[in-house]
Amino acid sequence: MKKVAIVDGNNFYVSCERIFQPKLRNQPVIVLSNNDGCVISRSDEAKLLGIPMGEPFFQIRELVERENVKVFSSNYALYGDISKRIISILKDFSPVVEVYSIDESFILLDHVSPSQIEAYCRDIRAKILQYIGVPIGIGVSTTKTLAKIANRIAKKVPEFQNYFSLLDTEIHDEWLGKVAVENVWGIGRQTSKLLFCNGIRSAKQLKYIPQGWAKKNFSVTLRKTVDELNGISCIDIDNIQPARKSILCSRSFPKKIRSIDDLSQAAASHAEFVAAKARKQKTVSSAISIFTRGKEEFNNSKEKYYDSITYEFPEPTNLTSVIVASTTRAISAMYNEKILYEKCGVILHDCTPEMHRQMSFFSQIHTEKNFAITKVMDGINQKYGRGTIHVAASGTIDSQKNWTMKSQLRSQEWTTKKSELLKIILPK
Amino acid sequence: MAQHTTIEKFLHFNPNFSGRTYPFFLQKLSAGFPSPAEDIVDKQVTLDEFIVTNKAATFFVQISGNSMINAGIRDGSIAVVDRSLIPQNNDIVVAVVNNEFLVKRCVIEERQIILQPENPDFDPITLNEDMGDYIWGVVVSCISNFR
Repeated sequence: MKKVAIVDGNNFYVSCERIFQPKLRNQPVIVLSNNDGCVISRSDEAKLLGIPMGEPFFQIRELVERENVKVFSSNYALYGDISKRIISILKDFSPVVEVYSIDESFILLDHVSPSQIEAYCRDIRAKILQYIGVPIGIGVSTTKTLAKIANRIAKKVPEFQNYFSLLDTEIHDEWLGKVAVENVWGIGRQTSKLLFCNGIRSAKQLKYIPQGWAKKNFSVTLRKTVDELNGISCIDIDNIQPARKSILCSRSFPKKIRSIDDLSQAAASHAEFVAAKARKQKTVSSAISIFTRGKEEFNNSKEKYYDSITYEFPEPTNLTSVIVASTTRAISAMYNEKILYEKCGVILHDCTPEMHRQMSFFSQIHTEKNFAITKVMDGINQKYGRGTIHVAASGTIDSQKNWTMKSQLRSQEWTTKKSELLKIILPK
Repeated sequence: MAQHTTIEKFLHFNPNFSGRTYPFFLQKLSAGFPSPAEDIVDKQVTLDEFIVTNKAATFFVQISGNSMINAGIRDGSIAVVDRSLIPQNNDIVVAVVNNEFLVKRCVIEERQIILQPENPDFDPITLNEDMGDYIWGVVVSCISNFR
């Protein structure tokens, strides 16, 4: 019998903050998204105060002050490092670990006998809690979709203490009947509305959906979900992290931008980022899109203004110099002084594995000099921190403040920055 | 046989504490025959081997103050804390007491853990788990920089 578990961090970002700030335990705590915009993580105490997920911060400012809710800007350097540590521990428990997101991983437990599964999973939980300080929940079943449901039940029912198994098919219908269809993994808002209108409101009803009707009215994705609910595994666990086919980097600006310099710097900075990412995963890209979004200055309608340019590279590449050059050229071409820009982004398309590089004498871009410069830049940034050295096109620290993220309430990078380690002051 | 070795093979830039080897040569080598050192370069001893056993559970903490100097921890040093270890009697531990971080030597008794003060003028502290006190981790190593 195939046994798959999903392991996820409880209130993950808040839990990361609590590792180094134990006084936050038992307090209402929230973490805000980029630009301190919306709530992206809440402690149980904050949930009890009625703070919804995704709520814009300005709407709960008063509640936050009144109830003394602790607020933090997202600290992705910290969260990413904590996530890596958790994944490393999971690898000691399972030969196959698929990292689904920063706080969720699927693991295969075929090597554990059914009678031992609960003890095994509780051991995983205890170790992660002790070694790292993050509480996790585990759901186990025969398919990923069912495991996700088990995980949800584990979290919602306190008596289960963050572990639940749907390995026993006899109990499936009873529990699937209690799960709303929109909470089934893979069922989006539109699909769930359509299902709801047609009387499919629970996971159990979805499991028993008439096949012919489903085939006629829904996509193959839904049918896969239905199969999975029936114990037929169709969504495989991959041990490999497939290199991403597109790499995107975009940011909304904290204040609208008018000048071409600011816009160009922001875009160039994104370009550097995606180029470095492509190199890190050893892929080269064939094409790039640069897009902008904003509002016409004297236009009172809510209409947004979009523009984008796509270039094909002369050869697939991941060189910063080429990617930044194409980005700045695109901005020059697209720039419109009547627009107040809100956001810009860069997408590298068709990222494919870098084959052993044939140094082509006829290449205009893949020259030895360009490789060497890139290598040195990557090296320096890895040693001293991202952004230590960057192309002039992405601006100086002063000029960057017009478009960089507000992170006014970010906690320390306790595990990734030498200067921000936890400091303990010994009494005299 | 290799006539010269390219930059790619030898450039390993590494952040501190990464466990990667430090670069040995930083320029192309031109040699008429393969260097006997070539294969040995990768096996350099690293700092991690001395101080990190369980990487996922190891954290670095900066210490300020000299009260633990008798234990070998001085002002400004970096304590290496392993959270995977069960504290043993006489271990130096990082503990959380009343939501504050402390570094102390611990005494493991049958039913309780006591944190010893280095200064005899101070009282020992008993960990009160009901109040949320806990051992955060065991100090396994300490890094003091002289310069």
